[in-house]
Amino acid sequence: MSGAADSNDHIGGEFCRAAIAPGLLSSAGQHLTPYERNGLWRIFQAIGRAWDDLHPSATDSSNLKSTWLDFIEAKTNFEPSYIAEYSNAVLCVDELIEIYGESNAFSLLFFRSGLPQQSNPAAPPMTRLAHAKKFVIDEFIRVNVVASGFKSFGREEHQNGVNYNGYLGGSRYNLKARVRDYKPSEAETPK
Amino acid sequence: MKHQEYEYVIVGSGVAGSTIAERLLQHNRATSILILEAGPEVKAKDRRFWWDYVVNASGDNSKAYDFTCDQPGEAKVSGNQTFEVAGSRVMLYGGSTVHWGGWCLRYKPEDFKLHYNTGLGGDWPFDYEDLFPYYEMAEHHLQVCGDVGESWNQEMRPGVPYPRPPYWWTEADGEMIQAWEKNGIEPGKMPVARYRKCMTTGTCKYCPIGARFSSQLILDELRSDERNINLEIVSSTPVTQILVDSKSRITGVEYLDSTTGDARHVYGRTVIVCSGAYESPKLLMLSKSNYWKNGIGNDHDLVGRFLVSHSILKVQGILDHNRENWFQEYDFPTLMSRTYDTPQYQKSNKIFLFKNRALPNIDFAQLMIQGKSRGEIDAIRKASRVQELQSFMEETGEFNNRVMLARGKNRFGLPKMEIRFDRSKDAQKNAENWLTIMSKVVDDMGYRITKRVVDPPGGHHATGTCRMGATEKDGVTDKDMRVHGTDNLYVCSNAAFPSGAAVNPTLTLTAMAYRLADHLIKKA
Repeated sequence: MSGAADSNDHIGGEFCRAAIAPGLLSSAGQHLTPYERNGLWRIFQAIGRAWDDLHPSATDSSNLKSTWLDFIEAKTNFEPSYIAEYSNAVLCVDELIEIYGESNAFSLLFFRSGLPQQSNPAAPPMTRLAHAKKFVIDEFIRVNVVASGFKSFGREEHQNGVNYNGYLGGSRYNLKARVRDYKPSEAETPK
Repeated sequence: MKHQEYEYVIVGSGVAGSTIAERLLQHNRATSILILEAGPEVKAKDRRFWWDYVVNASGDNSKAYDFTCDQPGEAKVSGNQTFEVAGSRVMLYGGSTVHWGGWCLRYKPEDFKLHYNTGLGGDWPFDYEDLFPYYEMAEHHLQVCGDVGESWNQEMRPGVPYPRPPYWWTEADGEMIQAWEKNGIEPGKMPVARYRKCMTTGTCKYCPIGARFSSQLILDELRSDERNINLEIVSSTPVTQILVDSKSRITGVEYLDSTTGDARHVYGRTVIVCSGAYESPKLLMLSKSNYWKNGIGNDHDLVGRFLVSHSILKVQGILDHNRENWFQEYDFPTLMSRTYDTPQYQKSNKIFLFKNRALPNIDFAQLMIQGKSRGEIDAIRKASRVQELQSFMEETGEFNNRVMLARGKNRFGLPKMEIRFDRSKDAQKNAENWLTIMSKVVDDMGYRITKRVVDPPGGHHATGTCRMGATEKDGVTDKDMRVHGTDNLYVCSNAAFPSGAAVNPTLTLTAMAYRLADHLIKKA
């Protein structure tokens, strides 16, 4: 790699570093193939593994798949369609896996990509990998967190979502009692 | 329009207009009603809109309806404070309930007697007891959740339960509750409109409750009910004038045709303006004729005056650890108090206390996007936490604080507006006193105070600009919100409120809408 100033000075091979315009890729007339759908799911699962934000009883992100599919349907069935971005992301990840192996590929992609977006989220995506990061990886991360990943950050010693109980009044998954109810002191009790 | 003349022409499709229409139609399904909405109809229950909002990190202009908000600079403002208009309302099918927070608190009995008790602001031409049955209707309409056991409820709703049980406090509320109790502040659970069906319009990224009330749902249901054969709801149709054929008789309204931009007339036996605290007075001022030289109801130069804003007071502090991993995942309010919302504090601008609904918090997804590892994020979340105590402070209507017409038109074809607002010296002094009390609470929590501010005034809970009064010299509207000097023109809006109280106005507006609908049914 040369200097940090180059927008393609990041991980990946020829495909990932190819320069493209920063706007959303056109998806006119395209359809998502089963291969691409599976490739996208592999990316989403890798996010759950990389940040260890799965439910304590889960071994992968399968319990989030219906939410993720809802997201994919919304993004591919309505304009502006993300199909071309999704296709691009799958090809980028395929190339990264071919070069670095699956485990290293995702680790590099998530934590040490060398993409300018990692330090400056507002930087325009000028390469195919930058597009994959902005339009796919980053959005999948937010879906992961919203779908239930946030609960793991309230976890302490295998308890799940300590604050979460407060809103729902407890579900069968809760391991911790909800916040106490307020009981006025004797002085505050109306006579 | 289907008809040349309707029994009721309603201007505005927010909570007031939709509630009145529903109530009138429940009484008689054949009632002919035309609802004219200046803004567009933005698609609701749209998964794509919602997901786009969820994955958009900035939060600005990320909701499908954001383009209907006032934009910075659209209104001309002057005074000793910068009055904030942008972002405080939306103009579309369903009105501001499309983006509200759902906080639903009753005004207290003393709020109806502000001037009588303090010599400040205005009095309502009726008492809390008169509105009591309509508050119950409004709470059922909005499906409000709350805790009837709180001490202030013993006065306001003795033995009357909320339609829905309250949200529980979060763990992150616990330490503030303890500090409150130490300072004699009773903690309560925030009453919120906990509705039956989600419209996914983009107010929330997480959903602990199922839904919040949106008038869009009411309008959709009314429109799809085949029994309502004479109901018509038309969006993107700004009303530009109220028509009269004598001093007292209103005949209809002039509106702009959404396709041609031409001015057209439609007639109504009763016209109800439900256009909020800005557009309602503007429409009256625009409606000049030989009978009303200064606009309808404005013979005494009261239309647009007595603009009331809610001041928001904030005290923020930081703790140098977060060992408990507390954070407020949901951005929903839970903890509040009405301890300082009592007659005792009415003269010193009483306040409604609540915990900042979004703190403590960390944008975990953003840290992940930036490439932080799980270990790094865990270290960040344990390093510190921020909490903030907030309050709304009641302000009182001042004659010179006002909404006026300005030159030019906005994007919706309505005239631009000018706002003049001064915060009184007493209000500023009282705000400082309240900040001192709030700071003691944050200090008692063991936090280092990092922010202590009174936000600029703004339009989020604006009231008072067509306020009710016993005579036309006291107010623009009478006790039934009928414009003084007219037989058949009503203003059902926050604009008609003579005082703004310390709490959010929407529940009271909904109660007033029920009260007006019953008045109209009785009159018919």
